[in-house]
Amino acid sequence: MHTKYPFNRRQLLSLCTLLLLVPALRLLPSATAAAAGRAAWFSAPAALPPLLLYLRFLCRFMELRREGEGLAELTQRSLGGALGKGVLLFFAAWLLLYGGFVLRSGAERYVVTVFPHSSPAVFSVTLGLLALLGALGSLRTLVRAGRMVLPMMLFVLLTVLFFGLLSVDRSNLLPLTVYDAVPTARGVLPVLNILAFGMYGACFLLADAPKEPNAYRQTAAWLVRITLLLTLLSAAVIGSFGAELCARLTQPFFTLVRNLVFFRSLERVEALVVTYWVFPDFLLSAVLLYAAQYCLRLALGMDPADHGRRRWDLRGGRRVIPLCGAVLILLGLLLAPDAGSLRFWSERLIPILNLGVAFILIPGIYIIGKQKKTL
Amino acid sequence: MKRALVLLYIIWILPLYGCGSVYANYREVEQLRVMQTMGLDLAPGGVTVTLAAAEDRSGSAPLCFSGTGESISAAIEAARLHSVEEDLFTGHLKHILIGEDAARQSIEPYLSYICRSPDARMDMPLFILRGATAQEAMSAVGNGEKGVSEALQAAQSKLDMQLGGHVFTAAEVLQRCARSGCALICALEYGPAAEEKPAAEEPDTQVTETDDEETLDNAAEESAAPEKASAFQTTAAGSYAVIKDGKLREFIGPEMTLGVGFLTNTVGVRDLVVRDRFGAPVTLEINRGGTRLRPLWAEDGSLRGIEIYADVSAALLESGSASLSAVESADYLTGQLEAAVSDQIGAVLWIARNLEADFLGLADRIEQAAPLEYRRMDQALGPLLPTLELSIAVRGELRHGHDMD
Repeated sequence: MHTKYPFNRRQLLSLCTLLLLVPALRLLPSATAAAAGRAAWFSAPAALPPLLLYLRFLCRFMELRREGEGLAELTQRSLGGALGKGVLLFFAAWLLLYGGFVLRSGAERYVVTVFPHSSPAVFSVTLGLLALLGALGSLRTLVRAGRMVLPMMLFVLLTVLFFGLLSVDRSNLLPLTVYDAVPTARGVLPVLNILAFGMYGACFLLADAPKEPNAYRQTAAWLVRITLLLTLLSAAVIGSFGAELCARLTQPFFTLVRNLVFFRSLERVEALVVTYWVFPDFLLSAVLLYAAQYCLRLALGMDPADHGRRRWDLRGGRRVIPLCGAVLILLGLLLAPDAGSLRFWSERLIPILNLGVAFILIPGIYIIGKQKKTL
Repeated sequence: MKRALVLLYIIWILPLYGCGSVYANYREVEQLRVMQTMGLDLAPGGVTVTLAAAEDRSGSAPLCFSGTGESISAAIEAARLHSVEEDLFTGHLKHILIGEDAARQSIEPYLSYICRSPDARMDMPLFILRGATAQEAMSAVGNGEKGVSEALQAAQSKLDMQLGGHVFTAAEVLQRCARSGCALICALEYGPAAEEKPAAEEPDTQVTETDDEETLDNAAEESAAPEKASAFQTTAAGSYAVIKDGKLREFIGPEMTLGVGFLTNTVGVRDLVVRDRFGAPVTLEINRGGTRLRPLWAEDGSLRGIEIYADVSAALLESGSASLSAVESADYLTGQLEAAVSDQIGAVLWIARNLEADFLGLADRIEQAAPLEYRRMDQALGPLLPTLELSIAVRGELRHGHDMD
């Protein structure tokens, strides 16, 4: 344990696992089923090679960081001057937008699955305030909260998947033929979208993490485990409902939960399971808010490090945090006012922006830094 | 600052604790009347929803409420308005019953509701009521203590046994409709119970009174059990409704459901009466059976035909003839068994060809048997069915059901 640093890589990966559960249950398997049909369950393993390549690139990029540097500092060092600040401002805007979308889509989940006729604004604002409280605290607390919550979330998820897999109809999953290759490739995109964010999002938090050896090997093993989890998730849901029906459902995983009967006596536990997802929602929106204000403070020339300041101490540029929190909540309230536009945001706008950041902007920063020899 | 923020947070959280102004879904458990069966019928310009509660501990007749509206949600709200004492809770629905007229119009809006509603479970069994409306049946079925929910539960148990444990759920119907455009749904008829029960005592009724005649048509009605006991008639082996393009197209009667069981590999335990060579009736108990498909491909890769191989195993249950031990008699009965099964399979396939509908899921089975060839096909199986060569081969096995040889 590196006592000098607030957390280590293992704790950070636990947090990433939790954060990924939010987009994973939003996009899987409905988005992959729409793209790949029956082969959608195979999209996660099929996405593994490009993800490992991307991970290799990120590890190489992050090896260039110095003590106390994360992706934000590397961006500034690589691009320098106005361009660096501009990109940091873009990062802050993107992270806040994504955070607002997380609030809105999380609220929609509660409305669709458990609380019909309720206003999503209640959930968006409550979650946004919780995220603000989280971001005002130390990053160490968020990371450790993730480490503590993860076993419970995995227990819930794996229990549901176990019972879901018991009712799988094999003909909904097999056979796969060479004709499924192209649809599978299309289904890889949503998986890339989910996991690429988890990987580059963690890089924003690396300023507080030590440089440890075997980064690629350790993270690759984590990636394989996550891919397996996503495969199980897709197989359980698609195997139960079929790809055609999954593509029509908004929240197929929670529909599966609603259908489950445990030991012929316990049923309708979806409210409980949906409520558990408040933890990943909170952690994701808090981490996004933290990363956004960090980038913003760095772009504005402030010291983004908190130096152990207390939660309510707003000196040293920390006034940016509630400001960003207000923007986050406002975005959560204003984004996608109806379910139709939310679907557009969820399946088109956010994925395109996310993939653009992951596969164009961040590699672009690396290439420019290498060419300018600033890295 | 810290205190101010904590105070702000507490003020914000307070409304979430059941004040009702923010959280519109709040209801006390004591105020809920749990409904178990939902009936859906066609109404001018909309839908009539009938909701039936389960058996009441007090022994009074299970309550039944109806409402009409432009959509299912509106109709449920209309029914809710007329529940005087309790709020109608539709989160524990166990069965959905669709009237024949409504099914002939289209079941798609109902399936869409099941798909989207946070109340409805998608593994709920769906039934179509043959020759009646759901409202009519739900009001009539019962004996004063038990109502439609209990009758449907009993009908489902019977169908489970007869159909090899397979009553089609909403999820299966949705899945089949999305995949091939057609599906099967179990069909029920209602009529007097086989064992006539004594007339029910005067039930406790809570009739909603309204002076407004205009609202009466759309108003919810609370109906009590009828004087005579009725139960759902599932007949000997149930029956099926064939759905194509979201509409009810045909019923498959009980005389052909064995064929459906063979073609969907869901043959339950059931009796079959054949004649021995002296013309006397012989009851065989079919306890195992199923089919294998062998697709036949033309040289250009198109599907030319399907060979269907059925296996059936039956036990001799009841016979009027004394010469059971004769080998030729057993051979004759086996032949009769094979012919009966072949006839039933043929009759069901004839309906499928006529409707050009693959409601039996044959395409899936062909795909399992020959995935590459199937994926090369550029046409759905349904429209192809009338042009295909279909051959049926049945292999029967007759066993004695007791110690007699």
